[in-house]
Amino acid sequence: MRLLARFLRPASLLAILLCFVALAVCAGAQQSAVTRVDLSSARDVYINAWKFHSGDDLEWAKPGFDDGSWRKISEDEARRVGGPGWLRAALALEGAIDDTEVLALQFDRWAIPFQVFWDGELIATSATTSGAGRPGALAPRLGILRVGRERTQPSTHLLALRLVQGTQPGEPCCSVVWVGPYTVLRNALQASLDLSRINVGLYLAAVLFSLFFYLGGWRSPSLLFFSGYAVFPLIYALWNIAELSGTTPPSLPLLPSWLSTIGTLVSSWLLILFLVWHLDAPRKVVNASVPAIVVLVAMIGGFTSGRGLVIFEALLFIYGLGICLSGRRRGTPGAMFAMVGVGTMVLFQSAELTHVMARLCNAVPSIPWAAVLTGFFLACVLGSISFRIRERAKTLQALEIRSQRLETELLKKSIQPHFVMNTLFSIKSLIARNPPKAEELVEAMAAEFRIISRIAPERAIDVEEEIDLCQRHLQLMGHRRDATYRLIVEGTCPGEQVPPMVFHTLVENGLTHSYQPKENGTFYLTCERTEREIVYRLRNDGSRIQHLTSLAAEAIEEGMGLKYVKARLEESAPGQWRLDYGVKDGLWEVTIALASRAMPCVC
Amino acid sequence: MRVLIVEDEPHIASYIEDAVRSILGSTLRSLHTSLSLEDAFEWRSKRAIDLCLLDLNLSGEDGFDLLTEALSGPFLTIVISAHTERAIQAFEHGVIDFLPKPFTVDRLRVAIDRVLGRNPQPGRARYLVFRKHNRSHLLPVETIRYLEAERYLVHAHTTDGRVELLEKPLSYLEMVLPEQFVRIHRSRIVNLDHMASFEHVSGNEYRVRLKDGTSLALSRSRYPMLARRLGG
Repeated sequence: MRLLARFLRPASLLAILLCFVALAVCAGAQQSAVTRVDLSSARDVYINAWKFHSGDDLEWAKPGFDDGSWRKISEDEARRVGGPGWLRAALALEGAIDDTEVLALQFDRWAIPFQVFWDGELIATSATTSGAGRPGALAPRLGILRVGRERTQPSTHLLALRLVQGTQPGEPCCSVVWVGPYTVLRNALQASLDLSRINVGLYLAAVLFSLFFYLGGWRSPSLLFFSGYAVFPLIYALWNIAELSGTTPPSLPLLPSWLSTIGTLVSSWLLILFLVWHLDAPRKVVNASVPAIVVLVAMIGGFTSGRGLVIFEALLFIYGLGICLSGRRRGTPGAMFAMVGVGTMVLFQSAELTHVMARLCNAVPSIPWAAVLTGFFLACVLGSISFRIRERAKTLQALEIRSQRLETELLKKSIQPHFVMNTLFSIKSLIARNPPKAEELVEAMAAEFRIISRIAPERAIDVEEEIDLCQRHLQLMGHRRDATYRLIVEGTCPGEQVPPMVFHTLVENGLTHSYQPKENGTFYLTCERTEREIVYRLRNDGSRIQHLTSLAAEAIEEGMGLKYVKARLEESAPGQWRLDYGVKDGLWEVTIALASRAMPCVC
Repeated sequence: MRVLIVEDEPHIASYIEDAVRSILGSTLRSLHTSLSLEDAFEWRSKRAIDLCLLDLNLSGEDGFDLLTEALSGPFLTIVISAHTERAIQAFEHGVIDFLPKPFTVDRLRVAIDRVLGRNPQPGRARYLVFRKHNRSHLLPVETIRYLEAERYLVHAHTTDGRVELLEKPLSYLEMVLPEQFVRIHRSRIVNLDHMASFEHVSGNEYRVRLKDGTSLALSRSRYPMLARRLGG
């Protein structure tokens, strides 16, 4: 129930709601029966109004053939159909093409051989159509195919593709077919190649930077997540270069659809994981699970390409933007940079979905907008990482200063005037009355100070050494207070380490607050090692604790001693300790629990 | 003299006992050592004392609360402490002397001489402590216009017209108050900061007039001293 309650938090609900909105948008997307091409606009469009029928009949190439019974397929399905079969698309050419231009079709690499028919006329063959080709063998690249000016009068024309052979189940056979003026298609191809090259540089830099940061000492999982995020677009861009360049090896398969999907959805999810850990977002499990559900919804729903895929990718980025906003609100260093970067990507995706990006590219073709925006996003993220590294360096410096302060505190505590002067005064008093006892007191004081000077610079010492220090202190205080104090160690944890003077401070507190002058006392120290933690219990039988039985532990004011103990525990085992105290069974009991691996152990 | 030693370290307490005995000799009427605060309060509630030798840190408790409590009582207080950084604060609260631990018998003798009026020094008190409604309160000395003894009690007349009751002998207050407080009469101490004038009225009658118009009797024997102090 608690898990359910956590999932029903507003952020999660919003993400789920957006999922449904996305599903609705995708489901409601209307498919036009005809692809319109404005010849005067000098723009290219991709053909997305396909009809498919399996089988093979050359009559199907003719414009007069009635394909009313053929199945309309989406752009995504068009990529996965296999032969033998036919794809038909109606192209409505409008306007007049420039005198120096010629209409062309752009085919990237296809997995199967195919023939291109324009208004029933065979105008190109990608490979042998004898049917002898191996299933799944790659057809040679057709590239940009000129249709010819005489065939492109403004009217509706029929483009028919004859798919000669089948593919392996689930594998893509075809790529997007673009139509437009030849020069425009050629420039677009070159721009796509350039963009892929720039992306390779950007994402490779991102992968290497984050890995170097990680290997350089900041072992944060966020860096691995970001590296993982950048790997997929990098592979995608490399593959693209291989496919678009003229020197494509024939053995290179088409980009598998699963890789394309992972490259988009899973890498976006990894980006969210990066943001969650990088910005130290609360409820990490929930924040990692919700986008994972979005990814599953996209994959199960089949929205693994085209517009649907972009929408889901945008949803994941919006979720990431929410995490950045939350980090900004909490004042996490670097959140602002991350927010600007992710926000830019959300705008980029929105612009793609609303075709604003295409218009922008056409309006200012000299700027590679996609590369600029991607580069800006990656720069923002790396800037955010550098902020966090600077913050970490500051924290480490502060910890170092605190450690030095605690060392000073330890020495100050040990040689505080009150302790030293009272001890000296006791010695002075005993010199005349009881010289042997004065000598014993001097020895006890020297023994305690010898241990303190040895352990002062250490962050952790053997528990046996700490016990020895406590015994010495009890001996000294016994001499001073004319009483007998004992420390009984019940069960030991040999080899375990503890921060220096933690038990000593607690023993000192016990002597000060629990016992009357001249009252004999016994301290009990137990150590219990469980799978998860090591629990120390220090109890004393002082008579003055009786008045505390009526007080709640919270009501007892914490003095310098307890503050010192807590600071030491936090320094040695940050966030992996607990300290409780109170009266139990008539004894004052202080419990310190340390996580098993919080302190070094030589056991 | 009746002395109470409040010290939780038995050996130190014994040392102080021996030192007090050797200094006061036959003038020591009683001597009690309390190793705890509870015992000290109990003793004080049952017996009268003249001098309290008080350790400021007993069983980890800040002795200033105790000191405030002690200073409101009708006896003199000498603080014994290893916390020398708090000496100024102790003097400001009106203790006779502050003995840093460890001290010698001779140093304790100097302090006790002050109590006995043998070694007068200007006081440094910035507050006097009085009890009201079962609580101890601090009275800033600059707000006192004059002090007037009535039997064993002293009335402190303040600038805002209040009169607070102090359970201290006037002689003790004379020792701990700063220089601007001058004894003008067997039963009066005046704050010179609030004095307007002093005059020989006639015969044996001498008067001190305060800025608010209050007129106080001035001893004939103290008139020359006052005249010297004020260059009159």
